[in-house]
Formats: sequence, structure tokens, C-alpha cells
Amino acid sequence: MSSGPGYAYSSRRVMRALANFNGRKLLVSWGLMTAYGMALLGTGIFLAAAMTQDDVSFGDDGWTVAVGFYMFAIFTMVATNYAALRDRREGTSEQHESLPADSRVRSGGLVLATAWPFIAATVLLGVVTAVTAVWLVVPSGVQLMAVIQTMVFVATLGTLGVALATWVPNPFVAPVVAFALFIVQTPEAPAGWHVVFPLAHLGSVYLAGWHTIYLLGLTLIFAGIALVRSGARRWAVAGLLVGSVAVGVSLAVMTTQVCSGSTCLF
Amino acid sequence: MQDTTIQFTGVDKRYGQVRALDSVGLEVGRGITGLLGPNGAGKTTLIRIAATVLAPEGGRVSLLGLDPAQAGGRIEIRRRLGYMPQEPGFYRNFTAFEFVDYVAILKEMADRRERSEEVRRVLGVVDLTDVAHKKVKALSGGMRRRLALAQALIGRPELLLLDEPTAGLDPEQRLRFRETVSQLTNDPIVLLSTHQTEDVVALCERVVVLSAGAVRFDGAPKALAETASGRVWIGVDQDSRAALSWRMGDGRFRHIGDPPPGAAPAEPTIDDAYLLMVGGTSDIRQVTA
Repeated sequence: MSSGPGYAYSSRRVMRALANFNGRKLLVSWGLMTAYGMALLGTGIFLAAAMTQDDVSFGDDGWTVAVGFYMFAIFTMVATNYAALRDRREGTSEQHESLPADSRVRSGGLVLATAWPFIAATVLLGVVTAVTAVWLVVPSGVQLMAVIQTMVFVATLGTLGVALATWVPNPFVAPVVAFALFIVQTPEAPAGWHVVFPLAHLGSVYLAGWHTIYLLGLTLIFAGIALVRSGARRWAVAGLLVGSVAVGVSLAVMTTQVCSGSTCLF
Repeated sequence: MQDTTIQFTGVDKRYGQVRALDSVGLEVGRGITGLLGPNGAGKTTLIRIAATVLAPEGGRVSLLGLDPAQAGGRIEIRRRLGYMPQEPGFYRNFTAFEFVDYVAILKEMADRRERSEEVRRVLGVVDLTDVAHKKVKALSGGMRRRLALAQALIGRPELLLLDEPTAGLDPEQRLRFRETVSQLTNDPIVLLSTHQTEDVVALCERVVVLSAGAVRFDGAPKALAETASGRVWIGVDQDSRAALSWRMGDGRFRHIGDPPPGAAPAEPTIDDAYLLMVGGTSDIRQVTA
């Protein structure tokens, strides 16, 4: 056995250590720095309006906060994608192949690292929501669900960034996907399509809850897609299976509730 | 009793039509073994097989008594292995400390405090403590090679594979490298691939000469030099019959090969023997000391 100190023959412990390492690096990456800037800009505009105008409400004027955190999620995806392409970019793959932590552990560490931007978004949004509740008005249930959706959306796009790097290892893909995500969410789309939008406002806590489940399902699917190539088949299949069920059921519930006629989807 | 050797038995490897290794048989024990050979001799292929990143097409490999073809054996070997590739990659935006720290995690050192101590230790061994918090992209080429050595030394590996570690280093850095490798305290098996004969003379107890994918010599550096005994001459004129000859600083010519008229025999060096062995001359001799 090895004479070296501190060896832990547990891939889970190594994966956690990797996730913490990658997560800390993500938090100070240029992608997340831009994300913080976007979130603070959106929040700043809202708070500035709240301090200078009388009739400001979270429901009507909070969209700048939503857009700021939408951009936070998009830059999280760009950052996780950039981090996941690190070995390819720097030519370290062969060195790492000679080490005991295999590609399953390395990929798992990257996927789990997306929890750090999620925590950062949660803290920031938590502070914004608390400040709003104290200074303006306590957000409604639907508004609180929208906040939770936004937090989950950061994790969704974080895992999408890793999945894209695994299957389309090209640094230009993530920015293109980010742009597509931004322009695809158009209010002119038929009502049925709104349920698949990342930050849909569906008008009730019940539907917003299902939409949060939909986003969680997408997160699991992207995590599964990111892991399947590394050989972590058991975790990948579990993620894909549970994620697909969550997405399928939530979409069925939401479209049934939202659509009242045959022209709902087209 | 734990097996502390690496063994290659009839190892073959091809890249398309090119035979990189041709039935290589070799057993390496503790101490520093130099792997000497020209470009394309198969040194890197052999090192990569020993590093478990490449599988041979034929033959058998045993590393520290374990079979790298088996998944369990491969992982156990990797736990006890340090590998410095010929062209190491770095995360340029990481600091030196972060880079080695990351590799330490991949070596299954999950405990942060113990890992930090180990990272500080290996950075100290390669004399990079002062630049530990500088970004890799700000380090010189020599420092980066020392950083590559540092990551290979994590966890005091029992098997240390160094592929052309002194390539591109200036004389001072090469001497520093020799000092570092010769002072390793845990007496590992070190397989050092190089085409710097000076490194072999300075560091290695044993040298293996590879040429065209086959072992041409296996023995002590002194024995390698002795294979050129009677084939090295010094004369006043150049002679076209010599396999190799060159003008020295004092104006005389050093000939390797058959003696030219009037030449005096000279003490052979490892360079002379190496040139005779792999220099493409018609009278290459296969020697086993």
C-alpha cells in the first residue's frame, strides 16, 4: 500500500473534495464575476427605483431582478462549461489518466461543483428578497416561488454547461446556447410553450411548484448526460430516469392546466 | 513480501505500420534507471505503458507486482505512481499551489489539511515555495518543469516515471533537478527517460539503451562506456572511414569507429558508446553487460 499520507480510498470523499475545489474556483472565475455583476445591476435598478418612487412593487418592477439573475444563470453555464473544458484546453488529460481518481470521479466533481454557484445565487436572492420584504412589501407566494425557480435555474444551467462540455467539447457552443436561451423566451409564443420557458410566470403557486419540479428534472437530466460518458452509468441512468419522469409529469400537469384549447401549442 | 519491481515481458506496441516496441523484456528495481535512446526509439511509449495510460498490444507488464490490465490492479498502481510526462500540461490560470493541490485530490488525498501539508512539502522539494501563489502562466519554463516534477512527487510514490525531465532546462536547472531526484528519501523505483547522457552518468546506477523499439544495452553506465573500448581514437586529421569524427577544442579530431592511420586510442565515454550503438552506423553491436 501507499506510504503517502492522507490517502482516502473513497471515491465519494474524493468527489466531494473535487467539487469543493472546483466550486471555489468557479465562484471567483470571470464567468461568475460577470454573473454577480449582472445580478447586482438588475437588483440595483430595482432598489434604486424603490427608493426614488412611491408605487414600486416586487410584482410589477421586480423584472429587472429576474433578468439580472437570468443572466447570472447564463454566465454560470458559460463558467461551468469553461471549467469542464479545462483538461482539453490545457492538455492535462494524459497526466490525469495516470492518477487513481478516474473520469467518473472527475466528472462527478464537476457536476457537484455547480452547487456552489447555486448557493451563491440562493444567498444573493435571499438577501434581495429579505431586503424587499423589510423595506417594501412581503412577496406573495407566487413571487417567492419565482425566486426559488430562479435559484434552481442557476443549478440547471450549471449542469447544462458541464453536459455541453462533455458532448460538444467546443468553447464556442456555450455562448451560442446562452444567446439562444435568451432570445427563445419570447412573450409572443403560444401559451403552451410558456411552461417550457426557464422562468415561466404561470400565475399560481401550484403551477410554479410544478415548474420548479420541471427545472429540477432538467437539472438531473443534464447531470446524467454529463456523467454518462465518464462511465458513471449507474448515477447517469438514475439521473436521466428520475429527471425524465419529473420533466414528463410536470410538463403534462402544466400544459393541461394552462392550455384551454387546441391552439395552445401552435 | 511486496514486489518492488516493474517487469516488461515481450512487450509489443505498434502505431499503424510503425513498431514502437518490439518484444521488449526488462526488469527494473529500486534506484534510478536511465532510459536512453534517440527520438522515436520507444522510450516514451515504454514510460506511458508503465504509467498505465497506454496498453501494450502484446506481452505482459507487471508493475509493483500488480497487473495494469486489471482495473483493480491499475488503480492500486496509480495510487503508488508518480508520472511526469514529456510535455506536461498545466492549468495556467491556477497558482502553482492550486495546480499541485488539484493533482493531490486526484491522488485521493481528500483531507484538506493533510493535502496542504503535502503540497507545501513537494513544492519545497522542487524549490518553488517562493512562487507557490504565483499563477502558472507567470512561471518560467524551468519552473514549470519543476512544478511538473512536484505533482509527480505527491504522496511519495514508490514508482516515479520521468519522461525527458531535463529537456529545455538550462545547466543550473538541470543540476538542481539532479539534486532533487538524487535526494528522494523513500528510495523509489525511478525510470528516467532522456537523451542527455550527462544525466545518466550523473544520476543512474543502471542504463537501458533503446533503439528502434528494442533494448540494445542494459547495464551500468560504466559498462556502456566500455562497449566502445578500442573504438575511440584521437588523431590530427579527419578520416572518412570513421563512423563519426569531430574536431575538438585543441584542433585534433576524435574518431569513433575503426582507427585512422596514426591515431592514438582514447578513453571512451558513454557518449561514444551511445553513438556507436544507435548512431546508424553499419557495425552497431548488441551488447548486454
